[in-house]
Amino acid sequence: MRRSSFISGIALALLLSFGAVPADSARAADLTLYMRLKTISEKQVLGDVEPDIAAYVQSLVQSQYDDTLALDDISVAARAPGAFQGRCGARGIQASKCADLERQIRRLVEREERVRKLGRDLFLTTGSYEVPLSESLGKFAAVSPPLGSLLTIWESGSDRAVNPDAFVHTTAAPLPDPDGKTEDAYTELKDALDALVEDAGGPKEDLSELAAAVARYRFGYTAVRSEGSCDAAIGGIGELSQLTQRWCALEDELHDVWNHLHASLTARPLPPDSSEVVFFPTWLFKDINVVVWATNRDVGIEWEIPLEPVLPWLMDDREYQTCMEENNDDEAYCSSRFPPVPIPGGALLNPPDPPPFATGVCGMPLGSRGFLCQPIEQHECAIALAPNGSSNATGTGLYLTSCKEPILQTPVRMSFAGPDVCGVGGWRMQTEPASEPDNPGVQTGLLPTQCSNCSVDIYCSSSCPEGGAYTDARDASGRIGICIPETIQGSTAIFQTLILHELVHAQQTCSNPREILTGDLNYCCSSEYQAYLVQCIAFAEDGILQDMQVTHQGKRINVTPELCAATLSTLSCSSLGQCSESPIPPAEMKQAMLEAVERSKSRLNLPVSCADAVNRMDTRSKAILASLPKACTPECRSEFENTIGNNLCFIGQCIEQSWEEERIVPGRMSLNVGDEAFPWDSCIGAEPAANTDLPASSLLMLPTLAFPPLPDYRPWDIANSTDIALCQLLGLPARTPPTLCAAEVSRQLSRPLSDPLDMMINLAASVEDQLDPAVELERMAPNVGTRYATSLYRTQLGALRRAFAEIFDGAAVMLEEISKTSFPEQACSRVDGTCPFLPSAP
Amino acid sequence: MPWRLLLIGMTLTAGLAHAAEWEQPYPKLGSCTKKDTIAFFDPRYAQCMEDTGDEAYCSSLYPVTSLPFDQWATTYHGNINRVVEDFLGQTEEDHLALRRRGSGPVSCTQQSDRASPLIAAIAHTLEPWENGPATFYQSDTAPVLLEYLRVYECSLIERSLSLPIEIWREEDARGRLLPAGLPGNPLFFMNIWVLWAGQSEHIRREMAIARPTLERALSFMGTVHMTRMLERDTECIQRASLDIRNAFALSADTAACMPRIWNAKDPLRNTPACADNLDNDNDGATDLDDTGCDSLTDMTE
Repeated sequence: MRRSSFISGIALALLLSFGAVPADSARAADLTLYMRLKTISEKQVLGDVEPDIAAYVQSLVQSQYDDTLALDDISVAARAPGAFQGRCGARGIQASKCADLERQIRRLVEREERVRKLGRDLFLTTGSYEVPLSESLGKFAAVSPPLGSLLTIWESGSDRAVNPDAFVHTTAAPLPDPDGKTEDAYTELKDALDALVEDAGGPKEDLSELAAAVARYRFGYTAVRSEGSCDAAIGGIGELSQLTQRWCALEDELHDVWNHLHASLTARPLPPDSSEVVFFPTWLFKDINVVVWATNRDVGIEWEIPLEPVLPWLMDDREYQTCMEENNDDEAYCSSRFPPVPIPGGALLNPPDPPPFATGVCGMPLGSRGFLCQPIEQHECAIALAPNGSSNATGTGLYLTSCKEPILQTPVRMSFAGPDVCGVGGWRMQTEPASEPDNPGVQTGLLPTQCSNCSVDIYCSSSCPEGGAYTDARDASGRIGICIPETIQGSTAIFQTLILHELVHAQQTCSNPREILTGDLNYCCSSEYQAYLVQCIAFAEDGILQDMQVTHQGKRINVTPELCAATLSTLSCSSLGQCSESPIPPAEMKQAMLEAVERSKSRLNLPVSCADAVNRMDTRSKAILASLPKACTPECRSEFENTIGNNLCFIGQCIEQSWEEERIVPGRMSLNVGDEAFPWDSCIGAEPAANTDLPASSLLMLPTLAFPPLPDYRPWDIANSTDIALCQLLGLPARTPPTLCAAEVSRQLSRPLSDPLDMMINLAASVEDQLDPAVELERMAPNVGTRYATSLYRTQLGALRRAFAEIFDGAAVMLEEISKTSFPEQACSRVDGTCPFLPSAP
Repeated sequence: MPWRLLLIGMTLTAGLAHAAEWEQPYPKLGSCTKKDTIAFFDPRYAQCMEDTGDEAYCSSLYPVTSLPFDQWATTYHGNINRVVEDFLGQTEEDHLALRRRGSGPVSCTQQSDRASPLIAAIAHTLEPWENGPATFYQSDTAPVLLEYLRVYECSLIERSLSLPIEIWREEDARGRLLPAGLPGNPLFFMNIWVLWAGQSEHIRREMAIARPTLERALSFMGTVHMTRMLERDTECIQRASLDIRNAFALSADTAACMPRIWNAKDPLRNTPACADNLDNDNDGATDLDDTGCDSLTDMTE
């Protein structure tokens, strides 16, 4: 048999195989995406009136007309008016009243169904766009975890210390004992979820309670639990009250799952640190279309495929349900004693309040780093929010993000001999320990090793210079003393990050005179900004920055690491001037910082004294101490995590060390790197043996690191796109509103078809199109939304991908050039001391 | 039998009056053709022909007939359902949510993943891909399914235009299968009316739900496809990053030698003029033989 016929055979067998699916398979097929969508379509187009709506209308009829109708009557009134007249008459109601009832019921049902259909369509539209983007370990794709992995491969330790975009350290863990206790925990959770979609009679058609629970615990149960002790009765009355309801049994089961998973992590050889986010595989309950995501911080539930939104609540039946539970489902008693109460509509509700800070997606570990959850960086604002050259967005509309206010002009530190590669922050592990371990006392014998230009001695004193923490100048032996006072305004908890701050100063002065810290305003500000930035980023990592209560113009502002550093740097340079234009008084910022640190004291187990801080030094401070020795000195060992950034740090420091310490022209060591060893150095011709090719750096194309434009939220544009699509569909130019594009019968009449039957059918179709163009619009809206989302992705990712490609190209060029490095075979012949190009004396 | 002719006439008239039942506010992708309903023919004949090439044999075994009408919807929705599920992928274990398609590592050089084999089977029954390629890719899924939908709608419309005639013909053929001598169905017309009403309702229902259901599924599949491309790109960048990391790690190892190289080169470069074995002043004497050199460390001859 030929290969193609073999494949066709298999395919045809597949085609035919649907004739005889077993019952179990048929049931499983009902749980698929397509079959669920088909069921929704059938319900929307063909089904009976939904039970919720029927009960709501039944209740209104009872209260307004004092007539009792059955639930079936509502469906009949809406779908088969003629039959309703008969039923109504059989109940002894006057014919004229029956006609009025039928008309009112039909209108009411149509309105409510329209709202529900619109809600479901919008949910499907947004759901189809959002569902693949999950922070958990995926449903249809898992994008976030690989991004975290990518970051780990690229980032250096220095980046982590000085990059204000907080690094989210992500790892994955397997489910512990999947067939035993884990399965038990999830089974109990499933029972709690089943209780939301089942009643005494088995599975119920109404998914509203499950939908509300999914919406409530979508971003984890811990935020809901933090609202206070659980009370299922709390929820208020109103159309949106289900959004604030709680399900205590479900919360308990979620908590049990989290406890079980979290306990498994403590058994790891290296338990996760506080900043690490550990993802567990996402669990699936396929029959109820729900998944359970879990991390070491939280557990939550989500739809696998989001098809059912939380719809406006029509009937408050909580007392009725409680009664049913307490009275063995005695419906007659409960419905007479606690009848469900309709929630009246008809009035425009106030718009819902904006979500509180750091809740929902902004409370998730990765989502909180997105542009929706924080003001964007100052240097990115101009690109992001000023497409027409205006720095301020104008007009009305929804703005998804804003610039950090105020726009800061932060100082930039320049060193004497070019950039100090990875000069701040710790990127190495400790391989060259100091001559003796540091202790809280003064240790004059703590001297640098042969691999380092300096050693650091942190000591506690009640009389530090200038009254606060102070970094001494490097003394003749290379020792840099760091004086830490007994308290800072009564706080000792601040010492953990204060030591970090002073160690940055030690890094800055290890190979430089202390004047770079205090020489003038620019030196001071740039040095202090760096030190404070490292400190403020540490605050952000520890959750202290988010807790800082700073107000500006009467409103609490979100303190970013840059704002924190820029404001506080003025504090340290106040004798020389002002470092930034921050409108926050530095003293106020400092006070807020101290208070926030004190509030986190027990949570983070912060130091209780200076000696405690020195003896229990923070790992970030230890990393800086480990990075003080020179990286490339012969017979000195360097060890670091194998990342691209750290490797580049090492290469960069080796090159820098070579230029700063070695003299390419032999035997002529100058005082400073840039100095000439002899007056005629500058007139010496090109080194004949040197590689005459252009240096590799000139071949590099610097990556375009411009921030990609932030996506605009422009519903008007989307509506226009839809209009254009609709008008194109009907062969007309774009018009708004799209009803203007309704098909015109005259167009059909002017172009008659040859077949009269086709002509008649087309005319009928034209009339229908004209009658309800909104149906066309509604049908197409999801596709327009999808295309819009695709375009958004392309815009966003295109720029990033280009930058990545350029970085790869640059790396390839550098690596290729390194392999081409050639060393001269003969010694330089400039030893005769003559200078052929010595300029003649004037 | 004039009464029978009268009934036929009434049936045809009612059929024409009912002909517009398929009208729905959905656009048609193209005109319906007579070949459209071939998608709902019994595929076993085509398979038999492909396998054996013996028309007489295949015609006798699998007469070229369309599938029974009551199987159309099952076949159509079943096929679409299977394609969508193949597209989304299966969960590796029942309790884990992550769906995976295919096996083995992601390809960073291939444009798109292969589509479900069912897509090829469906496509080969449709006119645009009748002689199409054997392999279809994920990006072909939406066009094939949309064409399949159009053909399905066309088939329904075509049947609805002559529904009573089709039912009559089918029932008549079914009646011929009765053993000889037995009388035909005494309620023949009653049966036709019942079938007509049922099938008419069925066609109306299918025309109402088929397109919105597929379009919603395609919207969903579109975003999943887009995100999977993103996921694949990310994984490929990750692999490239590991290569770059290893290359830079080797470079870092090499860079560790730089100070040592300079240290080694410095003494070489410092060779004094009186120790370089050269006649630097062209006076015919070299190094210590030159009168200008008192020792090997002298820098001038």
